[in-house]
Amino acid sequence: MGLKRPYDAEEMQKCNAKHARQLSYKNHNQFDEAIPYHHASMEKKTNVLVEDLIGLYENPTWTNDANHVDKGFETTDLCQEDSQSGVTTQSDLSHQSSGSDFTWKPVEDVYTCLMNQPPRKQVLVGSNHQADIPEFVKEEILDQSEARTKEDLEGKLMGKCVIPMSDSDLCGTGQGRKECLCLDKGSIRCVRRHIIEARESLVETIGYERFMELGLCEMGEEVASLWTEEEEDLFHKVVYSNPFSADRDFWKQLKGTFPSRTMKEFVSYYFNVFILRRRGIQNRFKALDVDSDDDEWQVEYNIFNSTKSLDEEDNNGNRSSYEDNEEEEETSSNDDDEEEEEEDDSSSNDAHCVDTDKASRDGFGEEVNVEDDSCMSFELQDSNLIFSHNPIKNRECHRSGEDSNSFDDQRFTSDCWNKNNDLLPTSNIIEEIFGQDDWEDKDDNNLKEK
Amino acid sequence: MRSKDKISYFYDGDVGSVYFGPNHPMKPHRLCMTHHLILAYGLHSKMEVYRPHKAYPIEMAQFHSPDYVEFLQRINPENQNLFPNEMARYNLGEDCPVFEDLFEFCQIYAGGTIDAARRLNNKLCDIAINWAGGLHHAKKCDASGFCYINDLVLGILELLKHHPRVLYIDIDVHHGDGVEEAFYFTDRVMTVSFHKFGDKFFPGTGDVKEIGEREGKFYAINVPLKDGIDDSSFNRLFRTIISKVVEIYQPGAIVLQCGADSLARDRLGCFNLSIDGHAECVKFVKKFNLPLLVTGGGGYTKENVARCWTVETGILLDTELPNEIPENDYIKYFAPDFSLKIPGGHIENLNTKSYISSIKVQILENLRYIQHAPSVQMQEVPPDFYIPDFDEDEQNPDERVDQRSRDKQVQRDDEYFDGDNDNDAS
Repeated sequence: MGLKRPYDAEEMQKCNAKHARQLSYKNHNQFDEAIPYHHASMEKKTNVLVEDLIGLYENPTWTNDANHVDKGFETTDLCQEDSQSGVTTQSDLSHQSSGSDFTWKPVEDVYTCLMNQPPRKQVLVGSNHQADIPEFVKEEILDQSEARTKEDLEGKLMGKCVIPMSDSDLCGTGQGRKECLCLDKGSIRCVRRHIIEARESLVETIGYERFMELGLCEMGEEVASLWTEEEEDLFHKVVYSNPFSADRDFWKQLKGTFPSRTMKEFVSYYFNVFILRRRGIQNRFKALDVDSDDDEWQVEYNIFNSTKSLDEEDNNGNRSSYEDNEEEEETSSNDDDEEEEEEDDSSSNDAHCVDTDKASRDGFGEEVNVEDDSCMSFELQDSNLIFSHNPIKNRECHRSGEDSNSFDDQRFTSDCWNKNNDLLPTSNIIEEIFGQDDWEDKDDNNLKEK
Repeated sequence: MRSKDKISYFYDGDVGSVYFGPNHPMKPHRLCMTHHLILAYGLHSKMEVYRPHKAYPIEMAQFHSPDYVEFLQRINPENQNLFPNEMARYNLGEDCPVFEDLFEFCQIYAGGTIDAARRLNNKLCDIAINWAGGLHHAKKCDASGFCYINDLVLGILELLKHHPRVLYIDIDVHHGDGVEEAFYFTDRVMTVSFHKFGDKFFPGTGDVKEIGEREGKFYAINVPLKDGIDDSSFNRLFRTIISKVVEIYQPGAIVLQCGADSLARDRLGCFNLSIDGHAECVKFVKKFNLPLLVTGGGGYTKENVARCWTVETGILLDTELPNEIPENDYIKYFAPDFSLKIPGGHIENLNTKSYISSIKVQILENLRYIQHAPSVQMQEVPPDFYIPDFDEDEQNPDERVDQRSRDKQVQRDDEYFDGDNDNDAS
């Protein structure tokens, strides 16, 4: 059967292109070879035949349909019934337009043939495919008592109400984000604080019980409160020491490391805390095309430590975040990008950003990634930021090739997608991150709404 | 327009904490993000929020084969190696991996759609939303395209208990093959799917010539599109076709699958639609004021999925949302712009005007066949003056041969008889 994405393990490692937008056609071809040729051609014949039967019941006009046949799997015509069986002359049909030797066979063979045919890209029929349609009973016919019973039963299986309809339109509906007045606007601390405020406000509005019922206690960095600090450290260690690129599966390791915890807890922590914090860091690397779905993007453990420690800080003074470090560097008239070392907090000194699977993902800006990463790995080396990546395969390798070139070009030149974060040439990116005076302004621009 | 639509919204937090596996593009966590964004905008105050019941295996078996359901219940990552044959038979393991809590995941998203259908049936709401649902590739006896249980089919079957005709619309970038296949033979469900077709794009079905069979003939509509379709072309086509379909078919209820992979810049998709363009479809369908069941579907760039379905929730609630995303737990995902809408894409649009026009013409042409048939009546009152389509009551499933031959004989009213003795097949 066709796949929504190719699952060729080898290919996966080579190009990390797991999300093809096409069938894994090789699977299909293998299947083809297994089928006696006359079956294959008969099937194509079937497509054409049935199509002709629509409305007319005349001799089929082969010339028109030959194109469909030739295209093979591209155009999938109906394949429900076939009045042919075992007609050997049809072996020619798939490649020729002449249908003069078409013969009409009794319909008794239709379903036998159909059942013997392997599944293809046609709509499959049979008791194993179509649904059994329930009877439609007009409401008036329903007995009164029967109706009531029915409703009672259904009432139990219609979902449990978490928030009933309220009469008043609670304030805050449909409101957007407001400007904050924090001195360190846009910093990790600022963002975190506002999130907490928003959560508290929601609790006030709907009540804590409903807040819980909606699952909000298991969302966001709140989930970290369910883990001790040691556990969190251990989690990160396990993830970092078992990267997918090294053909290791940290999920399995996690299960071994935390035998009492369930997979749900791992997944919840992973998406609500781990990835989110990582995303916070990624966001502050403006030059990168951030992709939080990139399971391979790894930030050095120490960075996490630093962002985590923000939980403890109460005021603006203790700026231990990586991003804050940059700002400080920034303001302290640092003009030597290459030799920058974040000194304020040792935890952010060793920022190794290992990008192992970028371009196969988010198509947008992919072109930029290729360029950026290759340049960055050179230019940022001295600043202890090492970007390394596996050979990047852009979408070309798993899309139809016809439009890949224009595709990439178009995306790269798209400008309405980047309103405030223009794609800068790579030489500017270093300045962006490390040396520009207006780093802070640009950072704010990114975090503000337009 | 109606004074105020009553909306029921279904969500269960557990649906987001399953994991398909490393580097699998389907990330149920997107549902958490969607839900959270909806709450952050305060939309919960305008609708009723429900936690769905977990669908029972017997409910799933209303469509799926009991063996398949039972296997799904039994299989897990630890024991899957013991069942290689069944894994292959049910198409599990590649696109559709076996992961922890798989069955519970299916129960939740299927339960949501079933509950939604039931609430609509009982007129407890006008619109029901289940963003976790919409897994339209699942087949009766196997998984496909990241889908295991076809909640849409189950929901539609539920609606069919109260409505003679149900319209299914699918704007996922992939063909809604599971739903189409399930209802391929019946005219009680009209399936309309807009999708990318060709270039070996999954699943491979969905050509314009796929129109249904037997009494379902002309009750399947496929709109095959090429890469890069933009908002204006898509919306124009959508409006033309859907308005004609509703006018002619007169459904009692509509099911709308809003797969977000038809948005620009989707990881697996290849269209150019902006969120406005995508949401325009929802807006348009809502205008018909019919009982409406809205589900999610594909969508593999999770921030955009969350944005899209939040905007569409707003539309269903007649609420315009400001573009600045409010503070919420997942706000980091929406960097750098933190805006709700996304613009359209810029990949080359391979859908020429003439191509679109030819598709439209074929579809409208096919719709005329329904127009000619007496409207409204379905199996309850089979008229006897048109080309004998068999009456479901008289169908003898063991005698398909008769049916086929009967079709071949045009207007043989005297042949329209009970039983199974048609031996006129030549």
